[in-house]
Amino acid sequence: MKATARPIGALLVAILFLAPLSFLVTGGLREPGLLPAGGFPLLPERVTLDAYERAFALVPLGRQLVNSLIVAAIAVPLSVLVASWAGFAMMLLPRRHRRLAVGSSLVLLMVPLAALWLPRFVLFRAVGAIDTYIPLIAPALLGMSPFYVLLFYWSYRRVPRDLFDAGRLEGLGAYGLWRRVAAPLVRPTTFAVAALAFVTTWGNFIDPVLFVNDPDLATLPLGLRSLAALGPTSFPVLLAAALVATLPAALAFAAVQRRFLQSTREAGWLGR
Amino acid sequence: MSLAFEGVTKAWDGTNALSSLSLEVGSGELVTVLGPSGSGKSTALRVAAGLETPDAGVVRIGGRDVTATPPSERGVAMVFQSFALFPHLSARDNIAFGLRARGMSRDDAGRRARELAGPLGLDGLLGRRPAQLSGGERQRVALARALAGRPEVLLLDEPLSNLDARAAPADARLRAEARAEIRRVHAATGITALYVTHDQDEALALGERVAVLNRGQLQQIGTPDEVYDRPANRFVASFVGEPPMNLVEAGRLDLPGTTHDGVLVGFRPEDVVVEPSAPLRARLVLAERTGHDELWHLDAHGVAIVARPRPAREGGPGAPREGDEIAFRVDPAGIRLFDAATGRAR
Repeated sequence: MKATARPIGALLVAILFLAPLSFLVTGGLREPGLLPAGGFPLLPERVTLDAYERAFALVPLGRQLVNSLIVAAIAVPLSVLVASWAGFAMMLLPRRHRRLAVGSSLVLLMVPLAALWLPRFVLFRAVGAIDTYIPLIAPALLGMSPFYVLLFYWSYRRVPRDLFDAGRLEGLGAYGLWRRVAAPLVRPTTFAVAALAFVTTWGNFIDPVLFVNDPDLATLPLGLRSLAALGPTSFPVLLAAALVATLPAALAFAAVQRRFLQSTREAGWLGR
Repeated sequence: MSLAFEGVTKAWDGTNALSSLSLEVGSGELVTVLGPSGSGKSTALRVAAGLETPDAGVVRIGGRDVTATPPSERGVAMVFQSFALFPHLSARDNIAFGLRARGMSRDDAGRRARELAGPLGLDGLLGRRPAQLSGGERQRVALARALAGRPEVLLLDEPLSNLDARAAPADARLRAEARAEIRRVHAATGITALYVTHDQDEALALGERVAVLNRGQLQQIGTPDEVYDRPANRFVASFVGEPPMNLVEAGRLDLPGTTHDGVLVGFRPEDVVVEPSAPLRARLVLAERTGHDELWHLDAHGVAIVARPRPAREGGPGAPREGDEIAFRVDPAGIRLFDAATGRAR
C-alpha cells in the first residue's frame, strides 16, 4: 500500500510540473501563425521547426545566448565566492558585531529591488558604465543578495566550533579555515547559492533593460521580451526561443547536480 | 617542556571562569584536572592552547611567556571532547591535517600518518571517513592527529567522555583500554600532558598529580593519594571518592579525644568499623549492594553516615537487617578535621 502510494504521488506531482514544460516543448513545434492550443497541450498535427528558424531570424538569439553565458560565467562564481567569504567573515565576528551584521543584512533584504533601479542607473551612468556588463556583474561583488550571504552564515554557524579551533591550533588563519575547513563542509549551501545566483542572473530582465542599449550586448531575456511583443499568433516563435534559453541552464544543472550529490554522499555529511 | 599558569584569570560575561589560577605541570608530567562542570577546567585548557586570551595572568611553556603567542607557535596540541575530526577528510588526511597545513608534502605527511596509525591500531582504517569509524577509533584518530606534529605539550579535554554515550558493558572496557592507551602514549613520548576530566576515577587513575578545580579556583593539587587521603578542604572532601567522605559537624557526634570547636569531622566510608563492642550506635537505614561490596546508609541520632563496613571479626553476629541497630566506631587514622567556617583542613 505504502510502497505503491509513493510512486503514484510522485507521478502526480511530476505531471503537475511537467504540464507547463510540455507546453513549452510542444508549443515551439507548432506552425508559426497558429493560435495557442487549447486544453492540455499535445503534439500538434504538423510538427515543424519553422518557429525556431523564425526566432533565430527575428532576434540574434545565438549572440544573446553567448552574452548571457558570459555574464553568468563571471557573475555566478563571483557572487558565490563573495557571499561565502562574507558569510564566513560574519561568523568570525565577535558576538555583538555579528548581531549588527546579521541585523543589517536582514534590513537590507527588505529593501525592494525596484527602489534601487533609479539610484543604480544614476550611479552607473555617472561612472560611464552604461552599455557595459559592469552593472550586470557589479552586484556579484556584494554577493548578489544579502540572502545568499545569510545562507552561508547560517551554514557556517552549524559547523561545530571545535573544528575551527582544531584548525586554528594548526596555524590556519581566516583564509585557511575557510578553504580547508569551512568551505568543504558547506558544499550543499554552495551549490544551492550557485543555483539561485544562476537563475537570478540568467533570468535577469530589468538590469539589461536599464543598462544595456547596445543590441550587440543584449542578453537572452531581452530577446525573449521582443519576441513576446509579437503577439499571440507568434507564440510558437516565443516558445521556441524560450526553450533555447532554458536548455543550457537545465543541462548545466543536471550535470552539476549529479556531481554535487556524489561529493556530499562521500563526505558522509548528509543523513547523519 | 613545563606548562605553567601564573595567576590566570578569565571572565565570561562578568563571572570568573578562572580566578587567579596558578598551576605548574612539570616537564614530562601528566596532570589531571578534576572538577564539576562549570569549574573552569576546559577554560584553563583553552587558555593554555591559546584559543582564549586570559584577562590577567601569564601562561608559560618551557619557562617562556606565551600568553600572547598564537596557538600554532606554542608547541601544543589538543584532543577535543568532540574529537573535532574533519568529517570531509579520511582518517589519514585528518591525522596529516596539521602537517599539510604547515606545508609538509602529501607523501611525507601520509608517511607520518601511517607511522602513528600502527601503534594506535589504526592500520587499515586510514582510508575511512570519521562517520565510518567507531567511537574508540575516532578517539585514537584524534590522538594521532594531536601527536602528528610532535608537540611538547598535549592538552586533553575530556577525551574519553564521548565513549560512554552508549552505556554498555563493552564501553567500560573501551574506556579502560583508552585510558591505558593514553598512559602508554604518555610514557612513550615523554610529553607534558594536562588532562581535563569530570570523572574522578579517570583523574585518580591517570594523573601523576591531580588538580581539583571548583568555580574557577584551584582547590588542591597533589598526588592521587594525597587528594584522596588528605583533602585540602571541604569541597575536595565532598567531591572526591565514591561515595565521598562523611562530613559530620562536631558536637553532635561524640568522638573520644577531640576537643575542637567548630569543626567538621571527615572520615571515609571504609573507615567505619562495625563491631559489637564499639561505642557508637546507629540504625541501618539501607544496605546497598554495589558490585563487590556493600554500602550501609546509617542514621546515627539524626546524622546520616555512609559506611562501607569492614566485615566483623569471626564469631560476630550475622549480617544486620535494615532497621536494626548496630554498633560502630571510626578508625582514628582515617579521621580528618575541617574548619566549619572556612572549610579548610585543620
